[in-house]
Order: sequence, then C-alpha cells, then structure tokens
Amino acid sequence: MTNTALEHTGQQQLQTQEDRLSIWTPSVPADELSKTVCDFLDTANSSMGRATHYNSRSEQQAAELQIHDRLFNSSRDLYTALLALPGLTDRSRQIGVKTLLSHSRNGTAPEFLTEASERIVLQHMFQSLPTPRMLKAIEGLRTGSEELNLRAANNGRTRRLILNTLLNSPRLPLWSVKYRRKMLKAFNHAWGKRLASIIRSILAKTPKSRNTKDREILQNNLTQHVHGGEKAVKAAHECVSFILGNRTRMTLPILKSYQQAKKELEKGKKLPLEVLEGIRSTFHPDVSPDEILSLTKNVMTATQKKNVQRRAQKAGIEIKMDPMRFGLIELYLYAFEMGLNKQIEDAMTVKAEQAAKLLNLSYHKIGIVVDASQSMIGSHEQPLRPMASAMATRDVLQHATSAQTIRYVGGQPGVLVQPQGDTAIADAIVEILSTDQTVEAIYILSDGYENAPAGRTAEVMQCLRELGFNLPVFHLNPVFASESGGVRQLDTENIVTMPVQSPEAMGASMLHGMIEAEPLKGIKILVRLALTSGPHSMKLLPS
Amino acid sequence: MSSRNRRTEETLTVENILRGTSFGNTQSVGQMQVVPILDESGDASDDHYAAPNLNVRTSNYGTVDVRNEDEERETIIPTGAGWVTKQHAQDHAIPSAHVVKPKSTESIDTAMCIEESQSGLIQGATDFLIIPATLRVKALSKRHDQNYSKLWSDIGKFNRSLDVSNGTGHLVRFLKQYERELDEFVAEFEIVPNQIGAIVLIAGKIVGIERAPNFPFWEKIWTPLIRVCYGSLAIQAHKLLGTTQPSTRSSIVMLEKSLDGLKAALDYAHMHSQQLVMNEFNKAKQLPLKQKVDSAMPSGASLITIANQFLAGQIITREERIPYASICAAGA
Repeated sequence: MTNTALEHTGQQQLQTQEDRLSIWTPSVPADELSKTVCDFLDTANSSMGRATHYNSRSEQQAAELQIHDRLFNSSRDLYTALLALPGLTDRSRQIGVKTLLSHSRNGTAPEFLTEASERIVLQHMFQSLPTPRMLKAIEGLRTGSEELNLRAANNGRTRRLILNTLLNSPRLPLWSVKYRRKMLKAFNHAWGKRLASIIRSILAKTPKSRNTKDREILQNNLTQHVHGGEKAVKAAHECVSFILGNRTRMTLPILKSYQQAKKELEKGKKLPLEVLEGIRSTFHPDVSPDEILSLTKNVMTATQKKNVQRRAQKAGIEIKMDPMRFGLIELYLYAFEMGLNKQIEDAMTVKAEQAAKLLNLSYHKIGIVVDASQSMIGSHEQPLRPMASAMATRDVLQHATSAQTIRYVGGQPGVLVQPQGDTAIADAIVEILSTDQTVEAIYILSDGYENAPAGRTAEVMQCLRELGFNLPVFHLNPVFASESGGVRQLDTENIVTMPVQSPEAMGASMLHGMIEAEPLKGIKILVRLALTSGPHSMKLLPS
Repeated sequence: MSSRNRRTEETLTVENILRGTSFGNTQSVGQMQVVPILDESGDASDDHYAAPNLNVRTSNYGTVDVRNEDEERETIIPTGAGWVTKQHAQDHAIPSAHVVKPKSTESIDTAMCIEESQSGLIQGATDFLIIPATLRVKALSKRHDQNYSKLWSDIGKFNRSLDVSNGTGHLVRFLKQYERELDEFVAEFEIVPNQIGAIVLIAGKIVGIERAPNFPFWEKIWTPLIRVCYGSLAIQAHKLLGTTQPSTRSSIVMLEKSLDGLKAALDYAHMHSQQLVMNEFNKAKQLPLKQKVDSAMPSGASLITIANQFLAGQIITREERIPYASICAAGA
C-alpha cells in the first residue's frame, strides 16, 4: 500500500474510531486500569532494558515485560495506542511490536481500534525505530526468547510488515551493504530459507532468461510488496539479490562500490565507515584504519561523526559534526566525553528552547532541585546518562519559565555537573523556599535514592503542608527501577513522581497526574494524544 | 626495634586505627547507617597499595591462587573476600587478608568452600564479594585451619536464620534469595569525595569499621562491603525490627511553625543524628583491642588480627601507619 493509500485509509477511519473510543469502557475497573496505565507510562518512558547503577539487566527486563503484559492483558487496543505516544523508549516500542505480532487479533473482544488501524500503528512504530533496533526487533521475532517471555512470531502479518518496511525504504541500497547479514536473516525469516534460496537463484538470472514460473514467484513474494514504479522494483530486486549473495551485474552505485573497494579501497569512499573498515581489514590489511576515517569523512552519519571525534582527534583528522542533529541528552553525554565548547553550548541552548516551547508550562517562577549525587553516574552500560538527563531537563525547565531558583545536591553547580556525594534533597527544597517563597512549583530531578537520611523529603513535605505551602512539587525521574516496578518515589503523599526519559517528551509524562485523578477521562485523552502524534497516515482520530 | 614490634606493644584502639581521618555526614536508609571516613588533608592515604584488581583460580579444594594484576604496586586482598561464579565450580572465600606483590600470584591454602557439595575448580574470576559479617567473624577464628569445609555449618545456620530454603553450606542461595535487597544497598549508600573508609551501624549499633589505603581502593571494596558483608546484617535487622527507624536517626520536630523554624528543625535533626551516631562510636573508640601478629607481609608490612569483647577484625601496618583495617562487631 502506498503512503497516500495509507493516509486515505486513516482518514476513512476517523469518525468510526472516535465514536468507538467515546463509548468504550474497559473490561477492568477504571481505577485498576489507571494504575496499570501509570505503571506502563513509568516503564515505557524510562526503561532501556539495561542495567542501572542498582539493578541488573535481567531484573530490569523481567520487570518491564511484566508491566507490558499487564496492560496488554487489560486492553489490547489501549496497549496498541499508547505504544504510539511520543517519548517512549525504543526498547518499549520493540517489546510492543513483538507482543502485538506474537498474539493474534482473532478472538479479541472488539474495543475501539480496528484490525486495519492496529496495522497502521504497528507499522508506524516499526518504522520509527532506528534501523539497527528495527532489525534487532525482526531478529527477536525470528527467535523469540523463553527467558524474556517473548514468543517468536512468524505469521502473515509479521511477514507483510517485514517485507513492506524493508522493501519500501528509500535507504534499502544503503541497508543492503551496511546491515547485509541482518537483512539476510530478516528475508530468510519472512520467506523461509528454501524460498529465499529459490528467489536468490531466480534473481541471479537475467530478467530475460526468467521463465513464467520464476516471474510468478518474484511477483507473489517480492514485487507485490514494493509500492513504486518500475525503477523502485528494479532497485529492490537488485538489493535483495545482493543481500541473498549474488554479486554480479550490480548497477546501483553503492553496491558497485562495495565490490570495487575490495580491489581498490579508494572506490569505497562512499561506503559507510564500518563497511569500508571491514573491507580494509580483510582485503587491505596494510592500510592504516585512520585512512578510512579520512576517506569516509564526507559520508559519515551525524552519529558517526560524533562517535569518532576522539579517534579523529588522535589521528589529527578534522571531522566536523553538527551538534544540532542530536538531542539534548546526547549533547550532554558528548560533552562529558569530549568537553564543552561554544558550539555545543549554543546547540544545547537552542534544543532546550525548542523543547521548552512544546512544554507550555503555566508557571513563571519555579524551584529546581538537581540531584547530582554519586548514584546519578548510572550504570557501566550507560555511564552518566541519568546525570545527562537531569541536566537536559533542568535546561528545558529554565527556558520554559521566566525565573528559577536552582539547588544542586552532591555535585557542584555548573553547566556540566559531575555527580558525587550523598543525596540531601530535603535541605535543597527548604533552601529554595527560604530564598524565594513565591516560587509556584518545585521540580526535583532525581533517581529517587535518598540517603541523608531516607524519608527526610517526605518529612519536610509534610511540614511544608502544615505551614501552608501548597505549591505542587514534581519529581522527574530518569531511571527505571525494577524493584519499584516503575520509577522510585521520594514521597507518595505530597510529591507527584513522573518518569522522564527525554526532556523533549515531558508532555506525556505530565498526563500522569491527570490519569490518577480522573482515570477514564485521562486515559482517553492519552489515547487521542497518542493516535494524533504520529505521521499523517496514523492520525486515526481528529486532533 | 622494628616498627612491627612497636605497634604490637602499644595499646591499640579504634581511635589509633583511624588517626588522621575525619568524618562525613551520616547516610541513613532503613536500619542501616553509614558514616564516611574521610582523608581531607591527603595525609591519611597510603598510595603504596593499588586497588585490588584480582584474578582468581582455585588449584585445589581449599586453595585459591590470587593474582594481583597491577603491574607496579602491591595490593591487599580484603578480609573475607569470596568468589561466587556461574562456572561449574565450588565457590570459595578466604578468612584472612593478604598482601600480594605486583604481577604476582599468592596461593592461599586456608581458603574455605562456601558452596557445599558443588564440585569443580574456579578457572578465573575477577569480581569478588565480602562474605556476610556474621560469617566473617566465624571465619576469622578459623583462619589457620586448612579445612575447606570449615564454614559449612556456619553458613547453614546463617541461611536458616534468614529463612533461606535448602541453604546448607550454600552462600549462593542467600545471595539469590535476597538479590534485590542487596542490590538496593549499593544504590542507597553513596561514596563521597575523599572517602577512604566507613563506620557502619545497624539498628543504632556499630557493626563495622572499615579503612582502606586510599580513595581508589575504597571505591573498589565499597560495593562488596555494603552489598553482602553489611547488607546481610541490614536484612537480618529488617526481619526483626521491620520498618522502625534506628534510635540514632532523628526525625524533624518543628518547634516554631515557620519556614525558619523548619530550617532550624532540619539542621537540628541532622546535627542530632550525627551526634547520636558519634556517641555510639565514642563508646567503642577507646576500648583496647588485643592484637596478634599473624604474619609478616611484603615491604615490611604486618597483618595483625585484633579483637575485644565487641569487635574483631584485622589491620595491616606498614611504616608506623595503618593503611588497612576491617573490623566487624564480634557478635554480628
């Protein structure tokens, strides 16, 4: 189906979808569902499926899967819709894709989505994943995982989704050289090894030498999934042929370069860095790896340019990176590694301003407590990510309001804060109010592990309420904690805790409070937000 | 007279052991409290010893071969260090501290098995834990025994006290059953700048005094200490006392109903908690400790086992200094 056709289908569903949602009542009590949705938001906005400073990878994964299962079992449609919310981690979308594809929709009680709308959401989720993660998700569909309670999925829906996504990407030629092994696995999964082998043999022949049966096989299994003209079909045939192992009669420039670089390295200068590096180490072992940096510097992706800065610096090669291509957290992580400079600081400012506009906070004067204690270092897998997330959120809040009183706990104040020391959050709250009693709200940016002593923040909040300070206090937590089944809280009575994986997506987290107050209404607003936040084809409801 | 002999003739106290250090703010979560021991002047640290970067094999049941991977400096294997692996091998621990020369291997034949009835030898392990304080004290009293099964009955008793199922002689079963709680202790207690040691309290009583030669060494041993060695005591205390607060943690009492009053109450609660904790420490710091020189170590250092009616542990002395101390409550 072409994108235009998809959009048309989406438009057709608008009214029906809205009607169904308006009259939809969940099969579980609203309060129970509200708790499940809040837990899901906590998880899906913060969990990366990785170890943290405190929890092992397997604990984190088991906890997040359990929360996904709870929502899926409560309402398949709600689960589907919420997976489309902006700001969800890629990991959550990956789990969502696998969960939906490995459970047939047949026999599911009708709710507010149709089979077609679920397919559109699913396709959006799949395509919005970064390529390596999308291919990893396909690999997960092939193998499943008993340990992680994920079933393999090899049904018609899965096959169509894989083929539609891969064959219609404008980046198919690039993917063919960059991810050829993963692409091979994906096609083997979609077609089965035997059919893939048959397709390979057919594609090895010239178009003229293919017989009717050959053409039929190609049409039914490959060509019909390509939504484009003759040129697109020809390119898709050539890429698939290359991926399946045929290496002759290449016409697409990138595929030709791949073959030529094996003999003459210079010819591969338009290939991705890691591909050319692989060719160098196998076919040109005498050439220095630094030469590859120099050869590919004009075709590197923005992320590659960022990631090779240290190596390039050592090799004396200048590779310009564009900081505007990265999110605020990535910029902070980069600054931790390479140091701050004006270009990075300027980009941080612009990014924070942009995110602040989307946030649309109603407060003018706020207090901010930045937890820069030692545990904000995070895990070995993702060092300093919690601290980077806290600083990015601080910047957005600063740009979203006209005045702020900021206090740091542990580390020293500054643009780039190195985490250290203990966690005395309560003292910082009192200090903020002692400095300016007119702040309208306080935001605490913390992993929620308090020790100076534990429970002091809750005590102080209780006292503040007694004194008549009724300002809202929000705890924005960037760290998923498996032992909490969500994010760790500082005070369940007087502080609203919200997960914040990325400050650019704080809006969805803010709905948390509303769902707790008015469960069904809040959930329906969330569904509308989710289904109107993607590309036009996915706008299943009027915004 | 050698410095080692002079040291053994002095009356040793905890105060002597911690000479040159100062104390940071108390961290407190549940029944456990930790007072950081700091080297603010830089004079209390000893850079002669590298942080323990170890690689361990077992060459026989009861014998561990510990390699110091540091190329330049000696290191100390902490008292009660243990290796629990996923290999098809018997987990082992050592009862006593040891000093290992750079790029050298120390073969310790007084090690003990901590995984009863499991066969197989460890083929290489780098991560270590420090066995629960309760077991460390028992192991210390058997530190010269060459009997690899010497701790099995104590492990069984320890496991039963914590309702660990099928726990006879298997420390790993305790570690698995309480994995989540143990992991949380690591996050809850944070290292502060210039820290080289800690005083640990459970339920308002001192259960451990630890001193490392320097900050990197402390960074390396803190997780093993807080997670299993002292974390196990916190779990025991939680079972007995539930969520009550220890007597050494003060709550906020607002005498004047204003923001200034709250600030004063907060400051007082911090100060009072610190005072209560230090009162406990003061009770212990001047009590004399009996000493027994266990063995001479490289570079003129000595390993000394110390004890009084409340505390038991080991110190390492070198050139009139005490770079390493690890002391637990005797009745832990």
